[in-house]
Amino acid sequence: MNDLLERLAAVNPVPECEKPSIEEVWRKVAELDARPRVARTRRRIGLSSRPVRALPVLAALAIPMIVVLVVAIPLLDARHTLIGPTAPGVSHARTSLDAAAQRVAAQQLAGRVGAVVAIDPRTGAIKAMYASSSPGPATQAEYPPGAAFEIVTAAAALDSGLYRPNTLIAGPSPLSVSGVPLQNEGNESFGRITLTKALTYSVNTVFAQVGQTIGRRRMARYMKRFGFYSAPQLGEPASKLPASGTRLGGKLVLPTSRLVDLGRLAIGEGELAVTPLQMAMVAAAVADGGKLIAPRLDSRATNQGRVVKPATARELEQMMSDVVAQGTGTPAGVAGVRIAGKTGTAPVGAPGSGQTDPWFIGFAPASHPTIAIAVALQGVHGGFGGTDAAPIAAKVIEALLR
Amino acid sequence: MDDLDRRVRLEGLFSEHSAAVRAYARRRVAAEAADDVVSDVFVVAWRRLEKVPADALPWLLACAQRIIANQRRSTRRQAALFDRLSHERIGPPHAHADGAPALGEALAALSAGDREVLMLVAWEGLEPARAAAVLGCSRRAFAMRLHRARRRLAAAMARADPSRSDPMEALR
Repeated sequence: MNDLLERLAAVNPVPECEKPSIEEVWRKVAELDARPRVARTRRRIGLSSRPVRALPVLAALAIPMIVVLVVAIPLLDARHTLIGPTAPGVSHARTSLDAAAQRVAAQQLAGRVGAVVAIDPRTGAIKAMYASSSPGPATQAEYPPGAAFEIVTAAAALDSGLYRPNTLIAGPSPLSVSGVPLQNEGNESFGRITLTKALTYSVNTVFAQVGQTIGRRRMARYMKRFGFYSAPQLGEPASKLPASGTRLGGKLVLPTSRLVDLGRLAIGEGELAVTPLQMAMVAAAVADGGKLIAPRLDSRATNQGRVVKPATARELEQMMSDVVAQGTGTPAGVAGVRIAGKTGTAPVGAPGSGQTDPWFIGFAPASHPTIAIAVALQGVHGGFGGTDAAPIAAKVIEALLR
Repeated sequence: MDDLDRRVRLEGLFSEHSAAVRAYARRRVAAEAADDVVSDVFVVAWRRLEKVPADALPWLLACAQRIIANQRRSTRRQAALFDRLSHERIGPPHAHADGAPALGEALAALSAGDREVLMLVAWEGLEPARAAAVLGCSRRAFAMRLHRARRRLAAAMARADPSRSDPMEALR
């Protein structure tokens, strides 16, 4: 004879259920926020609506519950009143988030400080947005992106016609940039290498020179097109999101200012502070043939306009595919899928502390992208974008392509 | 936590767990009341988001449990509904083929506490540690409650249909 529990499981009246819509939750939140607090408390305790005639029927069921209601609920409610919810705008949106990808992101970030943002580059729909620390850095905290930012530098370099993917540039190390020596990873010097190769192996000194060549105005123009220096909207009018860009003394400063170290900006350093969301937008714009669709948590897509020419986007896609196929981004590989990406390893903390913020941004499948992603980790000792952030991106991409 | 990050967290919780919370509610209240329970649960989750643990489902179900209890006593209409449902719902029609009436009746005859313990395991499919978290008791205490509930279910079945009784069942 079956175990009783198994037999009981077999008569489950509702074996499974469809996911309901979240709209009702936001409607109730708005309604509660609109109601005066005293009235809310009375209603929740049930003082005003307890039906007298139903009492005998309920007595048998309700006695333990009365204890809960009289003791626990007012306590809980007092806490609500003390803490108080912030007054949010009302969202009537069905979430664009993918539960499986969120779960994978949570698993991957367990025990680390960091964030994952994944966007469908075709629609701007945010498929995953997970931050493992509080306050969550997915949209809020700003990190130096390191060499992941070289995608923006390369986009400006190619799109302006000043460079081709096969333009040769020398990459000595160290190289004096703004009077301060800049080193490549491992202080490795490169002879004349193509822009593609410099991106594949993340050669800092090449991109610092590229940045200086394309100049302040051009850099400012392309950064703005990618969404830097303006706050993302996400279709949430009540939410204020920080803009990404170079921050000096807490204030956003355009690269047109002489205060900005252009060479270091070009490699994602020099006080550049960006959100993972902004870097996901960079990957999404390249993935979508050079068009940026504003990221959204609901389904309304708004085209934010062309960032780079389709030809530039194609060239970047080739270069970024090399990064994952043979360069610093190989740990982002997913079996059977061509992935385009770029690693970043920004030094943080005291010089010589070995603390870095590892990054990976990219998109997949490279030829017809449906996912653009940014992964950022904070303060990893001896961390690298390739070894620390890229494998997380691979897992989330895998979950989203499944 | 910033408002947007809170929203993202709630949307994430909703997207991951709302189906399970809805199923939980529908196993205990009428379909039309269940969706109300679900939205109430997530309204509470929104207001207490900082308190929601990493393994959120037991917390959400505990919350649903309180909301259902609150609902049952707070309005006459729902009380009458529950009264009706508590007789109609347990022992669902599709189960009647295979000795299920005895099971359904036996389940209905149990105390609400015993019923909940059994349902959390058999219907919600929760492992003991998580079911214990829903009830806010220790794992050990839960194991004891489950053991006793199972024994009383077997006994109630034997009463409902003596021909099918199997005294050993209680021990399994």
